[in-house]
Amino acid sequence: MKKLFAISLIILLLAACTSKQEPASDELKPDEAKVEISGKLAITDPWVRVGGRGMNTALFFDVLNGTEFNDTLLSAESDVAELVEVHETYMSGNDMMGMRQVEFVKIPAGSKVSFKPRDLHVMLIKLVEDIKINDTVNVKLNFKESGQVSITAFAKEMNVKRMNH
Amino acid sequence: MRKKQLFLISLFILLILVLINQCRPDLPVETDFSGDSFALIDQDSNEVSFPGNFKGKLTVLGYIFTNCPDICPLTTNNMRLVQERLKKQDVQDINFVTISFDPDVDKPSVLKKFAELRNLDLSNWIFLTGDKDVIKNLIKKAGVFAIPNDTSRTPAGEEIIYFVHTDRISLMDGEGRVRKNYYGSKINIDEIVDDIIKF
Repeated sequence: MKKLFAISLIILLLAACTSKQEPASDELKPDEAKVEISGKLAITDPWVRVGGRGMNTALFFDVLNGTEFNDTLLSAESDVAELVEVHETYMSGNDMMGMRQVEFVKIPAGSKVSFKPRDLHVMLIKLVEDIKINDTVNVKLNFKESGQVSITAFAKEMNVKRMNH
Repeated sequence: MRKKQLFLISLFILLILVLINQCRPDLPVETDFSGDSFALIDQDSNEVSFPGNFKGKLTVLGYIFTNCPDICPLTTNNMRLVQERLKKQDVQDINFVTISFDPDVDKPSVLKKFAELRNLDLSNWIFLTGDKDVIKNLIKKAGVFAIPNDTSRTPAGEEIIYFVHTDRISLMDGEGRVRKNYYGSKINIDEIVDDIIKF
């Protein structure tokens, strides 16, 4: 009985020393989601990070290509920034992160491509006004096949749906 | 019989003490700032000595540049999550320090705006910038790299520089010694909170 008590106590102490491992912010995950063919290209869950006048920020969303043809995001435009570019965040070495412009993003037929933190995003460069929490931002996305798609994104700091805290 | 019992009890107590000791993080010194004094400026343009002003308490330390739209806001948000978690667990006396490695752009007013837009609680959180050479020496010692890389040019001809940089949050002890480094944009909140509580 005493032995059992001692062993239980040791196990409890060891368990107390073991930290729980949970992911923190949005992790990079391959987006392999297939989209049902509906004949339409849709933008879902658009959101923009807060940013100050003269600063930069990023716009995120999912592109669901429900058409039967491959499409390509060529560019984006908005009145909220002096310059709008499509960028990607990339890892360089073990713990270095960088960001660079991409000329275009392929959106294969019947697939979803996510523009998300630590990955693809639309850069709003030199904002002409503050973007505060709950503000809305209008952006036009220019696709090779689907033409211009207008979206309205709400401003927040993080995509709360993805947080685990 | 009595001697044997005494021996077993002593052995058991010793084992418990060893296990309790294992609960404390055995964190080596990654960077020793204890003998340094970097003259910096905070978001309100007050002069700050690093790490002098932060000695005596644990410090959660992050490195950013405000023109960064993705990794640095994630790092900042993760520091906010750590701050909120510690508040919830009633862990007090922790400093939060964010150092900009882009002092050409990140003047005090820019850092202040960056914090205000995010509704950050600055009661125990300070944003620092300073002289370019001072910042350069500080981050070099910290093992943080910030290399100007890609650029964008606005219609007015202004060049915006993007850094390839170390993705870093650090935990510094009360003597100004960095005891652990974490990925800033994808830090495990539980891990750093556990390290702080056990320290």
